[in-house]
Amino acid sequence: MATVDVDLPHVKEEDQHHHGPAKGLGRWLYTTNHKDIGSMYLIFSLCMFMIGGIMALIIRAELFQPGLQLVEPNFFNQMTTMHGLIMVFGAVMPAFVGLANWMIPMQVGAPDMALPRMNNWSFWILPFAFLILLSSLFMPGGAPNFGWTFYAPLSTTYAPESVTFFIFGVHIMGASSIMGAINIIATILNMRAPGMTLLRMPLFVWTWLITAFLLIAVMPVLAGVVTMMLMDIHFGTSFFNAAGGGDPVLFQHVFWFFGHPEVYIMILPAFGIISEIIPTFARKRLFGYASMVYAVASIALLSFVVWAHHMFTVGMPLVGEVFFMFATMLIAVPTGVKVFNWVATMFRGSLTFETPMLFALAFVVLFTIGGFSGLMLAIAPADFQYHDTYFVVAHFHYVLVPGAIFSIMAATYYWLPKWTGHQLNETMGKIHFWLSFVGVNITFFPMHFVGLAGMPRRIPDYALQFADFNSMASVGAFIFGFSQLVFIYNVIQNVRVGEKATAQVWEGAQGLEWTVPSPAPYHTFSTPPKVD
Amino acid sequence: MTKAITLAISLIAAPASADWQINMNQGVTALSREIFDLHMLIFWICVVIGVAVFGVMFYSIFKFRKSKGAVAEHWHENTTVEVVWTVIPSIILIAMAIPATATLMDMYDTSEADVEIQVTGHQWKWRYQYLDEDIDFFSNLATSRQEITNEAAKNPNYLLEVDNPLVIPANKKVRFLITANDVIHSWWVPHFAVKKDAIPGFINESWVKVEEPGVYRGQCTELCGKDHGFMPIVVEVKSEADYQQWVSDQRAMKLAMAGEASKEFSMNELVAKGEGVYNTACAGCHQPNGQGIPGAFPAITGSTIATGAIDTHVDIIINGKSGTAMQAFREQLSAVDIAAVVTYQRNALGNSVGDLVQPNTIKN
Amino acid sequence: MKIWVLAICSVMASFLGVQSNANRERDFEHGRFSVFVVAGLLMTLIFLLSVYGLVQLAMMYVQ
Repeated sequence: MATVDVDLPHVKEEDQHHHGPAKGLGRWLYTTNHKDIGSMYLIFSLCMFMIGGIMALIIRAELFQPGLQLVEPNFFNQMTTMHGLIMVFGAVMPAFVGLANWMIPMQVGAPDMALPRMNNWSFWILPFAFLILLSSLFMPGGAPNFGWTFYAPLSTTYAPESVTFFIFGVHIMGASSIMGAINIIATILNMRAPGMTLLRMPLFVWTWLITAFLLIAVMPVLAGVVTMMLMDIHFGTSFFNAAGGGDPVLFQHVFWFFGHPEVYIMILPAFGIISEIIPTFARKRLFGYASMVYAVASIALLSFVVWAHHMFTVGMPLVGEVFFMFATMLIAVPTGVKVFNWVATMFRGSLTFETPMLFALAFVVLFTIGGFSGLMLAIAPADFQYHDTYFVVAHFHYVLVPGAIFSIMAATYYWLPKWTGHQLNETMGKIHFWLSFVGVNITFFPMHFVGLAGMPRRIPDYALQFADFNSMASVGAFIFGFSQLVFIYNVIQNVRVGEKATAQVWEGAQGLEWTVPSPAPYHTFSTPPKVD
Repeated sequence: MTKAITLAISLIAAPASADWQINMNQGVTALSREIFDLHMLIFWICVVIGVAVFGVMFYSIFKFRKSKGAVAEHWHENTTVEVVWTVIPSIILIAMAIPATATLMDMYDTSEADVEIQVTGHQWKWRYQYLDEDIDFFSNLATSRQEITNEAAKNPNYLLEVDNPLVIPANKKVRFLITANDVIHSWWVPHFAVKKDAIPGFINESWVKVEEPGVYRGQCTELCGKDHGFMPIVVEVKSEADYQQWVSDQRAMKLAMAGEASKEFSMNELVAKGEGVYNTACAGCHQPNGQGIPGAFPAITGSTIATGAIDTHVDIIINGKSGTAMQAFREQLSAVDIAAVVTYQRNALGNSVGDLVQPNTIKN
Repeated sequence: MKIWVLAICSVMASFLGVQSNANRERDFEHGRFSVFVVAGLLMTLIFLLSVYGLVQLAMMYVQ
């Protein structure tokens, strides 16, 4: 982005006294402050990450050895389902919304989000959505057990009773996401400081602007598909029931029309974060800023026309198969451009390797590996061998864990000093990074092998030939899981103690958020800064 | 406590026959080898791109460190370079798409089949119907419950073995018509590179032509409920002569079964036979001890159906109960099996009604 | 008319994933948002049709 020169408005001491946070619990319940709401989103997402992580560890513990040891198959299916739903809708998406809440107003020089009361509401309905979802674990018949993709008719005619609660939960979290997206768009389009033209916006803001449009476009589709399920279950319709003239494959088309853009919703803000961090620690401007912005926009548009590559084995007509194969392969091109640009940013820079940079570098390498397996999956004939095996599990975990999750951790380490006013404990950060990096690879790399060798996904028990790599993956999962405790400890310690951070924090950091003191005052940019 | 002990034992006793296969199976058909080649081609393309990208990246990481005195340069754009590194991958990808399309067209060419078999996915077993012969049977998991719960040593084909394998002739084009009875399943045999979703109410097609006789194993690959991991596929490919022999054996067996249905059985015979049927067909949901899973699958022990009027009991097994997971066993079980399992359920698993039903009174 | 041509050029550049800074500044200083949206949707449609055409061509070529 363009170099930002700022005339910082004089922050008056008494302003802060008058407009500081309220006392007690009321502060958090009634707050309309983007920083408070951002913090709540991030804490909520961390809790969900832990709950979803425990479920993942239950899954990996059961899969440590062949045979059924710890859980029944039905409970195993509930775990895979809830793990997926919680990680996607409870951990990754709220974390990005939290980061957006914290950083977008500060990066565009706005005093707050455009719609602060709606901001409060869109956060506070989320915990209820997930309480409803989690409570289904204790209902007779158990929690949803039909996978996070909830294919009909397993999720309609053959679903446990709790499916109705699941549908309600999805509706609420969809409403929350849509409101969050509206708020972000309104903020970016209306609240920029004078001189902060669209073309000067940081990439994180750009990627979130485009992500927000994607959210508004596809969350109603998700709401639509769960409503169709609800009608099938309780009101006697037959959208997905062949016996009544419906079509189970219709479900998959509608679901993936939401689901594929959803994949980009979870990765575009990550692209934005990485595009902020790498230039900072390379001390060099982002290579091809314009290309990055345009490529994100085109990825967003094209993400609507590739959904059926998740469905190569449903028996589509040949023309459909070839069409979605071609379209998917072409969308790989603008994605590849981003990786090339990050590498070019590092080339002939002046690199240092603080914790955020380590996570960002791991992101570039491991996300690219996930991209390669994605390219392999796009080859429709080969996909007949990959589809619904552990190869797919390896693929999407490579783009989501060292992709989305690592970017969130990188962002947390990067902006934490700005939030808390304390310098990061680099040693702890590096321990966390290396444990996570090693853990993630031990967990997910062997999954490529068992998948290619023929292990289907979502099975609680497996044939003996898959045993060795599965034990290995389980060991890795526990390393990765427990190393997150280091992260939590590090963050808590940072909030409590630590060396005072400067406003700039990182030597190479550029942008409006680094012009305000650390910690950022409760209200920033009450008078807009002037960006030249 | 016993669970803890079995767990401890299973953790110590590492499986003997594990291996370290890391790549896709080449398979045993022309098509599966073609797919394997495509897989390797795209894999090597990825490797080359990866080596180039990561090479430059690691070079930068080692060379342009601030600690080594590197000073950042100021350029941040070069449209020509960007266009070059975008256009080259695009061309590679389009080139890749052409052989992939050709393979796809072969896969979709199901014409001129020699043998046609309808494959139907049920929760949690497969049904095979030979459309040209009068052969129709179900294929259930054959691995014992004890092996799954770690009370017995696991055999090499653990979870990949069935009671009645699908039998097909070698060197003949076999067409599969794949559908499902309840939820979506997916029929996959890795060595054939055949994977097709089995969708209730719709029929998908696929085909295979295997050159060498042998036994090939696969699994259901679409989450289909509780026992999704326990519905394997075993295909026995036989030479033409052996296949014909097998077909006539099947016919003879069918006649013998029909004779058996008119026989009178004693209570002990029925209960003994019923236990086997129960464990294959019912125990998956109603559990081996008949207790069911509260909230999901009702118990047999003390159930009003299993201790009430015998006709109702027979009826629910034959016709199932719509809107629930209780399927119709009309076509899955013979009259003898139904009589046996009804008698077993009424006089075992904690029930002791004392009556029995003879196969010849069961009207399918 | 000229702004349409420029918008379509920019959208084509975005599909490739490459755009120069000079063009970007021109787009943001002289372009209109609505023009870009319409051009984007139009080009997506054209993209769809051309992929479809390519598919038909590939299938003819293979046969």
